[in-house]
Amino acid sequence: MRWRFRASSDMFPNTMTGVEATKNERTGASDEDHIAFHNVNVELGERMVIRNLTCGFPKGRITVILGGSGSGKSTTLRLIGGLIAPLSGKLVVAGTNISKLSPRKLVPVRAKLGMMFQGGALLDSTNVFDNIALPLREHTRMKEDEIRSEVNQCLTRVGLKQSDGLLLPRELSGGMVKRVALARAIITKPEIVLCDEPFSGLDPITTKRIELLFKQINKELGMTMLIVSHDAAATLRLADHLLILMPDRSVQGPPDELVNSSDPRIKNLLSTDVDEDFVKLDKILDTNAGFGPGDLESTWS
Amino acid sequence: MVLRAIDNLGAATIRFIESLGAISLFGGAVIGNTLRPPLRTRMLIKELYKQGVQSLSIIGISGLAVGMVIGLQGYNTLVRYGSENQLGVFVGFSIVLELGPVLTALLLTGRAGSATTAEIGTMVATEQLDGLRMMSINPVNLVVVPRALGLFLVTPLLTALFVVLALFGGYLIGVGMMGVDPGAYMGNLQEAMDFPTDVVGCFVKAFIFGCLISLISTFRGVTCAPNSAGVSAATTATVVQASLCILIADYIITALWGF
Ligand SMILES: Nc1ncnc2c1ncn2[C@@H]1O[C@H](COP(=O)(O)OP(=O)(O)OP(=O)(O)O)[C@@H](O)[C@H]1O
Ligand SMILES: [Mg+2]
Repeated sequence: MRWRFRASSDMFPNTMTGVEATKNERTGASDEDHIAFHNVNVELGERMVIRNLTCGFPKGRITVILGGSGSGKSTTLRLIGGLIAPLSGKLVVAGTNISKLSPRKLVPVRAKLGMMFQGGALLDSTNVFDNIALPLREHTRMKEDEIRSEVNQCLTRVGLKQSDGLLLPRELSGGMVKRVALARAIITKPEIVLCDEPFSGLDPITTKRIELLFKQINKELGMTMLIVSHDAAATLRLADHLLILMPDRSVQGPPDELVNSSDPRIKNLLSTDVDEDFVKLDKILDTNAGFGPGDLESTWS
Repeated sequence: MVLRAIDNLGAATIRFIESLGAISLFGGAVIGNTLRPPLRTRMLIKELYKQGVQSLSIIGISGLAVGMVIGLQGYNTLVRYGSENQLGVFVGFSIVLELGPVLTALLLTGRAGSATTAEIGTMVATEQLDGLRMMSINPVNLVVVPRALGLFLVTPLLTALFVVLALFGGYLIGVGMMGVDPGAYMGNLQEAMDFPTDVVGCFVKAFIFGCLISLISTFRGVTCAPNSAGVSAATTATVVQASLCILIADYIITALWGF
């Protein structure tokens, strides 16, 4: 792939030379991290959405970001993509401090990123094929038949048929939108792939399939992957590293360590068996008393 | 109380100047990106179709109707002074100098400008523009330029159509119904119209109105709040602001051009 802006991206080596990160305890960032947050604060519409986040995402690994709804998972990914700027703190992506970069200077950093949005973010006026081909057409000098074979290969990768390429985004099911969005995120073979809830709304078979795909591209292409997920089982199967966002603090570490955490909230988030909740629910139904969503709140807060 | 009023006035002024600055920067970016290759011909043609071809009927019918009304009113007025042979001049001047460019621009604002804002606004709300930014594709280049250029080109063309059909509408009423002499209608019209001031002036207006519609409708789309309330507010803002700007600009051009 010949990126037109590859020449300038040489100025930004992949090693984290720009960071003078100290090895913090378990909530810190380390030198081998591909992406590192240092005391990052984010304010959206006069509300602090992310408070003092310090964490790191290891290079070439799959990191899963867990957290309740509204805990700032999407915001974290948008920060890495430079779509929002932090109020304060330092944010290093692939060796470049992006916390105060202009859109023009972000170009070489974004060339290393592929992002799959929560809602797909596909251009609704063009069909699936053109959506996936867009970054190739804009940034490479590939010929049309090269693009065709690349896109078709990508479509098969995410489990779509070639004929699906002719459909418009509005003609797709929710799961298909996710797969097309994933295909568009990885078509340029970026170093870092950011996926916002790739599994929500997918059937178990497709979920497994996408999981395997993540594992496969992570192994074959050595991509660093950040995946936002609610699915505890999928998380534990996939993750090399975990970041858990909670209202008052964030925790990171290897999954097998975090499963045995003393914090009940973390245990709850990572628990693959929901029997406890169902027992509780049954009891409430038996006594015929009304119950509100608050009764199951312990899972999230 | 008074202090509060002064406070509000100050804040409003600052906001106004800020948005003026923002729209100027945006306009500069649009012009810069229009001149920069690639020229997205296929997308431009699609926009010309959507904004131009699909507006043909509303502009055509309005033009004809306005021409007929002016013809009728004009005849009724002129006949009192026995100068109904001057009907062509009456219809011609009101249409070419004022009603043609202004009404076309107002109709286009409602028909194509609002649709453009709503379309771009929906793209903002569904993160499509952020998706482009993540792929290092400038949304101004890919999304705004074809739409802005389309609106800009379509306005003078549709103005011409409006003017021709309105003149024909006046002819239809005056000559066909009221019995004005056809030679006098056309002859007096031709004689009175001055090409460099009147006809060129009409197109100067149309070009400036085209700039206003395309700039305001795309700017409101791109700066729209990312939700459905935001899209609806932006669409309303486009119609209100573009209409006002057109009417104010019309006065300024008329005063400066010396019609
Ligand atoms: N533009 C905005 N203005 C103000 N607040 C915002 C804005 N965008 C997001 N927020 C707030 O930021 C918080 C984090 O949002 P974010 O989208 O990152 O959550 P999330 O963890 O991705 O949730 P979900 O699992 O529901 O997708 C939320 O509480 C939300 O209310
Ligand atoms: Mg989210």
